[in-house]
Amino acid sequence: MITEQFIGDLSRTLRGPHRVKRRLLEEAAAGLDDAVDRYREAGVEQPRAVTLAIADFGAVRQVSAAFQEELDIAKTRQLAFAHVLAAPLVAGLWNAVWELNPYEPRQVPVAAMLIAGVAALFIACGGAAGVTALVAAGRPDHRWPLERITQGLRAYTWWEGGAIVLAILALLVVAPGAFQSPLLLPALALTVLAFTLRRRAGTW
Amino acid sequence: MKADVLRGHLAGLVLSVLEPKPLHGYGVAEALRVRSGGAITVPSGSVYPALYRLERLGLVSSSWGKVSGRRRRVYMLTAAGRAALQSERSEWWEFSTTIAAVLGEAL
Repeated sequence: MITEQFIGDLSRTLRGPHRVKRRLLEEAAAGLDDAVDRYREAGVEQPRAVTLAIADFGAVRQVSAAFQEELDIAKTRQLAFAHVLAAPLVAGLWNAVWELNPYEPRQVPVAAMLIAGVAALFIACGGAAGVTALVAAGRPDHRWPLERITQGLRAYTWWEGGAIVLAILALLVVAPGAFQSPLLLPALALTVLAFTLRRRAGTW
Repeated sequence: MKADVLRGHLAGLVLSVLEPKPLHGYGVAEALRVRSGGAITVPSGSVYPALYRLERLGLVSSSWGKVSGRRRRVYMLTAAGRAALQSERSEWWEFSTTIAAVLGEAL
């Protein structure tokens, strides 16, 4: 079918979350079918009806930008949501690891507290960046360049991940006892999972 | 009327044609053409992302229904959509009145 080929051509120009893309393209395909039916009911032959329906729909290059804009918003929101969700989970579990350390509060090395504080700040900033991006992409009159927001969030994921890895390595040196918590492995596993999901979210 | 002239007003126009009754995607494109007497020739393909956007913003809601025997997603205005439409109308009235006053016949 020519209409299916047309929708396929449109699909190939679009990048974004599969669920949103499928929904938009299903609607477009149904609309094309309805337009063909309307022309057929008016007595137009099938091949001509298809040609007219596609002409009414608009050329791929003419309409794809509007489709892509919705996909870009969905992509940014998905990535931002992953940041928002990851921050309290990662921070909460590492806080539990920290609370279960065997040191008396006054025995915790100052260097260890500083390192943990910097790592916590990176995690909190990641969550705050996610909330900001989520709000920005949800505004009807959003004027922020979405591509730059997603690039910024992706870059921050690397910085934050690097900061956490460095913090763990530094804490192993200055306060090795802090890692005797039974929650250490779950915390590590959850952190890796959260960062993997954040890396995958919004990558299409 | 060209598509680029209408670009900033498509959302308001879509809300307007959904005001009397719920419509499916193609029904919205048809209603735009019919209500404008054929003057609005916006590509019908741009209506589908516009409807998705309006639903994302909570200005329309959708549910599945039967249209001419086919299963179609049918869109209807929400309370927020009605309020947005009123606001769009007021802004348009103010804008068009101002422009008409300037562009109108020379005395």
